[in-house]
Amino acid sequence: MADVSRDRGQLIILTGLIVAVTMVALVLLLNTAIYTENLASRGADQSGREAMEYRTVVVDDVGELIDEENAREHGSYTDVRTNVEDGIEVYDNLTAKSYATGGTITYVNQSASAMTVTRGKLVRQTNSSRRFRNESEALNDWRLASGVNDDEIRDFRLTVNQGDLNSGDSFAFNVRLDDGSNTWQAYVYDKGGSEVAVSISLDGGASTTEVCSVSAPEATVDLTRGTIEGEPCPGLDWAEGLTSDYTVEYRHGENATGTFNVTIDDTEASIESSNLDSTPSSAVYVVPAVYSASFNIVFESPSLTYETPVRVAPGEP
Amino acid sequence: MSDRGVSISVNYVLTLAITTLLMTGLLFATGNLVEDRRDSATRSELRVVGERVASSLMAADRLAQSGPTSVVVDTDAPERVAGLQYTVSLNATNQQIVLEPANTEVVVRIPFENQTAIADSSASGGSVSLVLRDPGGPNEALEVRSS
Repeated sequence: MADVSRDRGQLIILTGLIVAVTMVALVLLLNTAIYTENLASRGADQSGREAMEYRTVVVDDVGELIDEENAREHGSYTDVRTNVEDGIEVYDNLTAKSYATGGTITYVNQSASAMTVTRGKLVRQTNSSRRFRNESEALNDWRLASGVNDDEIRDFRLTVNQGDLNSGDSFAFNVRLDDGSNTWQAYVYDKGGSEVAVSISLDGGASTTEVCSVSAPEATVDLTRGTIEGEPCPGLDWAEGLTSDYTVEYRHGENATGTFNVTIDDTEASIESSNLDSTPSSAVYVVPAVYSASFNIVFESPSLTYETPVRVAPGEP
Repeated sequence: MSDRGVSISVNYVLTLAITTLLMTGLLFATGNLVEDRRDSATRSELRVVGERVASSLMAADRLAQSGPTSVVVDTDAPERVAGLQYTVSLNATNQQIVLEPANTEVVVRIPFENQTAIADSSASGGSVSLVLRDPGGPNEALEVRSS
């Protein structure tokens, strides 16, 4: 009997040992599962969002930089271009430092091969009591530019005085685009009740559609961005229906006073310099400007590398 | 005298047989339990890894839509799940990330939505990168690579 019970004990001990080993394996597996849960609960990497954010920020800020330099009315294109390029360099150094604190490398590639700056002209009138006539005051209907395409004109902003506008849209001041077969006209007029309204006509003025209005003594209409006093104006769709290069003209310039700015790419489109003063004056004039800038930006975080070309031309339609 | 009529040998054999039967049952059950746990741990871990790869793929997809010249998104993941090596593959036709460990039946598929083209590709598990191949070119596509 003593032999038998010793045999039994051996079998049980052996089984117990095997079960114990199995339990250890089980614990290890559960540990793996816990590690997984931990991995799952770690926040997802946000670098992708930050990279897109960086791109947007650079485009917005460099756009403001370009417009700011253009508005300073430099005497020559070389001056404005040099200032823009220097400005981008300084801006790049500042953003690179601020992103570096978060462990991210960013830079704007400014090597000659990566950066292109397009020459342009800023046509503007800064005398807010002047009518929208040509430089000599001889013409009410006059041309600003011809051979213009949608990526050659930007930031077309008119600020008009409500009191000096025509009542109703017939004979009202309008901006007329003509590509030879189709036209697009935006009328700016006094709607009554001290409201400034914008109407669009696609058939040469035979029928007009009011797209938006605003009540203000002075209203800013951004024709290329499609806004009025900063608010979106959905029907104001620049050059809608035009298919080829077009001319940009003012009609009934006598029926509105105010200021305006428009930046045109003069390497592609041609500006009607006979209607404009060539230096800053109290009439309507033209100054050298940068139309757009294209360059590469690089964003490198520990988990992401992103390099992309960007083109900066704020307020393009 | 309860063991009268039963020989010592029969008693011995019976005891041994019953004990062995019970022990085998116990071992079999625990073995199966471990096997089950192992499968489910592998599955849940691969699902987590797959979701992370999918989230990186989505990030790469969004970035690739902006016309870049280079996109590389890295994902941190363990090299082994439940002690097994595995592969991560992109299946463009079914829009799935397929994670397959060696030596098991377990396969985990994570679906995704994409705008950019995806290239059928695979990499061995651990940290993988999602790379935009041929940016701007005719063969532009996102693929997975070992990093």
